[in-house]
Amino acid sequence: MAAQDNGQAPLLELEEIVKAFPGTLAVDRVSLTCRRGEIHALVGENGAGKSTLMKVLAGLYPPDQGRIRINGQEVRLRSYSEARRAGVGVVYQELSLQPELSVGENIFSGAWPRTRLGLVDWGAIRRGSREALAEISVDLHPDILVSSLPMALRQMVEIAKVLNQSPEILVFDEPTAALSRDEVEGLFKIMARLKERGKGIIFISHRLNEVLRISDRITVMRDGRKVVTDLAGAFDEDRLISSMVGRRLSEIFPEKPASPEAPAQLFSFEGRLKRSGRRVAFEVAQGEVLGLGGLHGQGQLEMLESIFGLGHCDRTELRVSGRPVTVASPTQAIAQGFALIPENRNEEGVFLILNVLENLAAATIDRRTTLGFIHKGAEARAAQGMVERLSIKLSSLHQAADSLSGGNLQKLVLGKWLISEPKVMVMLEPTKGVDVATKQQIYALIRELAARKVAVIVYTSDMLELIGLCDRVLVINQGFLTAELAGPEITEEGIMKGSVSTLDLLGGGN
Amino acid sequence: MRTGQRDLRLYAPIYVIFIVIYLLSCFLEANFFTWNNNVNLFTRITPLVFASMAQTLVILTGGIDLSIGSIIGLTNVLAASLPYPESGLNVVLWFLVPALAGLALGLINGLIITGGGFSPLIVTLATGAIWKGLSLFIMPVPGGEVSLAVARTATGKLGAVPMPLLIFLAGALACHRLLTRTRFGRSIYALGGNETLAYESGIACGRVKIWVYGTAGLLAALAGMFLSARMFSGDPLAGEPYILNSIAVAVIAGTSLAGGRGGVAGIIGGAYVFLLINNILNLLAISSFYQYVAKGLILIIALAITSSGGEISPAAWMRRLLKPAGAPSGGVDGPG
Amino acid sequence: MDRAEGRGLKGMKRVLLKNITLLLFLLNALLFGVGELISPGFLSADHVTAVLRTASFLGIVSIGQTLTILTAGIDLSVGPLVTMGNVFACMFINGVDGNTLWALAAVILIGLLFGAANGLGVSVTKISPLVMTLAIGSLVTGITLIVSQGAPKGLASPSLRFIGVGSLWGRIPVIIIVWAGLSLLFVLLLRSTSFGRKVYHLGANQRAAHLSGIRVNRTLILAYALSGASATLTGALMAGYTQTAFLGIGNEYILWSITAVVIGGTSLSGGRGGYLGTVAGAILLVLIESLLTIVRMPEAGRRIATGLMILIMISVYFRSKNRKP
Repeated sequence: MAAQDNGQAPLLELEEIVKAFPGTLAVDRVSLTCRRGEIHALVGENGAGKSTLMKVLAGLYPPDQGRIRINGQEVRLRSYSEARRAGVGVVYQELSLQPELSVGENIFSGAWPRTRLGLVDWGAIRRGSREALAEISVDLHPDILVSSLPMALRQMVEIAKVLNQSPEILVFDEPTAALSRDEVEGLFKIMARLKERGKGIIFISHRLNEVLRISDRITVMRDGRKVVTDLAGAFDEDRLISSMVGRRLSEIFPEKPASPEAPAQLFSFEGRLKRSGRRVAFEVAQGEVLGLGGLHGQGQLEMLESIFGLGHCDRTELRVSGRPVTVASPTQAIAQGFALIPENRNEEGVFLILNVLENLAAATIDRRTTLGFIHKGAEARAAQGMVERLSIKLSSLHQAADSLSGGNLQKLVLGKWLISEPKVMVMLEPTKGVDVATKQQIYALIRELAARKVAVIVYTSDMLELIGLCDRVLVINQGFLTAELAGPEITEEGIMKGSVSTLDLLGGGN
Repeated sequence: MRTGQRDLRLYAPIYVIFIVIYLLSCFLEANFFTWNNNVNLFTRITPLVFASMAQTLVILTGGIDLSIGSIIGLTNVLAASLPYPESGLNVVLWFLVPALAGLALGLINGLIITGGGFSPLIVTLATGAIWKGLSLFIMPVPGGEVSLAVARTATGKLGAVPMPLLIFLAGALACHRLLTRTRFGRSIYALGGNETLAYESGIACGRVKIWVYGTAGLLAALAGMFLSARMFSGDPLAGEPYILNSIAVAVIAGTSLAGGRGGVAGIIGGAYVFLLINNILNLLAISSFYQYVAKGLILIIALAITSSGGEISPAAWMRRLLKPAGAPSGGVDGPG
Repeated sequence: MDRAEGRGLKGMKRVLLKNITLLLFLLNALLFGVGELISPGFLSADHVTAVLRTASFLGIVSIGQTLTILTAGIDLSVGPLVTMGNVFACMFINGVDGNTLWALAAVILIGLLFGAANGLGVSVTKISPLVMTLAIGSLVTGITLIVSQGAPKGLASPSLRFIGVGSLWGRIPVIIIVWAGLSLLFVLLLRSTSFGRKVYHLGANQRAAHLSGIRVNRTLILAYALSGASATLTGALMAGYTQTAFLGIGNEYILWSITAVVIGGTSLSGGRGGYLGTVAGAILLVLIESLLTIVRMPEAGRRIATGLMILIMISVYFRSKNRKP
């Protein structure tokens, strides 16, 4: 169905938006328009800048440069409420519902209608809730606790909540990620209805078949820039993929050595992911850097964390050099020679209020004690050794950790684990929030570890890292293994295809 | 599950326990089910109900109020130190002075906590000491007097209905309405559930918190005032037992220490259970010293159940206790 | 780019925090001087030792409080535990010198057990330390009442009395030496043992500690157990001072121990601080009490002063970085 503007200004215009963060240019002069009654899809790889662009629209970040126009009028969106008042409604992937409150309360969140006496008007809440849900053809009792609803219905409540504020522009951020086929159909019907009523819809998704099906126009972003905007009919999956990939290799990766003839198996993992019920298995050979790729939140983190004893998988079997090992907790994992570089450095990896020495010694405290007393000298030597090996810039070992930059903090985490001389090193987003120079050092370190017969498994959402760093890449989608690429097979197209594929290599089909 | 069902599940257990204990008491003592005894119970329960409601409000926002005992003490002392005894003015002052004082003290708590971003625990511990000091300053030893008219009315009857019963029922109803029918009350739940989300919904979190502590102070003052009428005098340390008791009753009445969940509907049941435990111990000729033990145990059990995510599953609980430290607990991350 | 250290107000605050212990000791010296000015004789050997003697008891119970607060918890059961130690010590010893040693051991063991119960509740069942220790405190109060039947009996032994009120070489009270010894051991524990190190990691970031392989539950249980033991031990030693037992003797120690720890610079959110600060804080508290006494401030005023001190100290030290709107 064609969008109608009848010669007026388009509903939404984002003009030459620029948004930078320290170290990265997240959005680089992107322009986008959305018309009334149009579904405009925004597509791109992890880190392409789509979410940042939408956060600018939602009022979270003011743009460094560029203008936003709604109905031809320029607007400044400096907060969530200003964006809401300007008519922008965003349905986030992580919903903004309060689980302990009812459906009705959530839909009116904060702006509960009152009776003449000033008391909360539950009648009005219930009526309004039913009406808001009816607009999207959903029937839910207003008193139902959100915590007892399944994800799909929660999303419906979220949509109703957003619609309740009568937005003209709606942004859906990855709405189909957690939905079944039927539920996706239901959502698309809603989007079609909204389109008929003249709303402008921006739809972010990785599921290219859905994008091609439902959108009127598609914009592809890459590396913070807009690559192309065209009618949906002018795209097919291949053109989409090739527009999404093709990023410039800005980092320098160390050379990958030739793989030995019959490499020894250093580590093998087999388990059943709790959330998908599917079986996943892989091995890491000597000298090999294994990468886990795919879109965000497809189960990669859960798989790798369960290696470390954080229980997201059932029936796990781990083998180190062929010998089975049991790991039920991080303490046991470390004893078996495993190490985990966590995804959220500040919350899970470093002790910001402690000093560098204490941070580096954290995973191996007991190895340098006699009768409970710490060998301070040995500890200091080990720490100093790490500082030198990793070139961490410090004024003293007793410096507080929170005075270090992101890159140096990551080195701190690495150092902590390297001191334990692990046999299996699992790294989750190892270069997140790290400057370019440190990134290169980390890549070199990873290569070195692999050469030293450490099984290295890297999870990264950055495709270039997977291509440049790993010898083999496993692509995971929706909790199962969809592609296994080795050597020259590791390309952006290959990874992208695997990320959207629904074929389970290890089990049945979709 | 609907909110109605959830509330039932939350509050039914305590009322079931209440009925059981009440019946047990009737069984153990012939005179338990007499009018006199029940009226006596109403009188003893009233301050506990108000103190626990105060604590519930604060806990719902995710905080705690350790100064409640001192506010009760101070307002109690004020209520018994008013000038012009036996005059109409005295009565008016009795209503106004302690209540306003309680409100003010509570507001100060709230202002310090939100203004400085400090932990409610340490702030109310400190202010509790200050208020207690003030009480001891005004009245170093128990004494003072309360107007006869007030004392007789508060502990008397309105028609055939005992006054204390009316007082605590009215108080509980008012508090319940506050929580369920006002924007302020609903904001408390949103705030306690997830403060960031509440803030983004446009709720003035700071202001709500300040007034929550203020209201708690007011409710504590009502307890202090009632105590003064009942004891016919003032005692600076009258509120001490209420610190632990109010927390215990709030918890067993269904309010979660994490905030955002619970309410005052179960308070009357909880207060009765607490009071009657002591009664039963007396009746069974067990020394009343055991009430401290009983109180502690009840609180621990109630907390263990609610802290494990509300799974009222002693089996799961036993399993967790007996597992070696560090073993996984079925999909739950974190220590232990 | 690393953040520049020590610029402006924030930098001054950092310097302040690093040297807090020193500043507190200087403050103590200053206050002694002020006391001497107001009331000559304040700085006499007798009075100084009296102040330090009182501070010793507070200091010993604050060992445990320092430990639990370092783990980002708190122990509100120290009051009842001090009373229990006091009552049980008198009961076990009953005036007989030979009983002293095993009585003290028994009292320490009891403290360890109740403390471990606190630790279990906090770690395994994840109950908030505030309420768990309050509940155990109630339990302990009840047990003490039951065992003593409301009228504690017994008597301290001559040895215990020597520890409580006696002096070595006629000048230095034994209890101060005991405190000094325990302080040394505790500082050693915190700074040089793996347990001490793990306590800091726990308090700094419990999740990261778990992920670094630190046995969180075990450490917590031990920390609370030691806290219980330091409380009962204090009560037992106080029996040497008071000679007979008193119910409620421990009541004030909850507020006082927390105050001493907070003044000493240990952060309530855990991972930061140490015992030397607590030592200075304990002495400061007792000093201020003493000063207020000589200016004839009634007990009420002293209580208010304690509360005000806490508020002042937390605003100086611990302005929360993210002031929620």
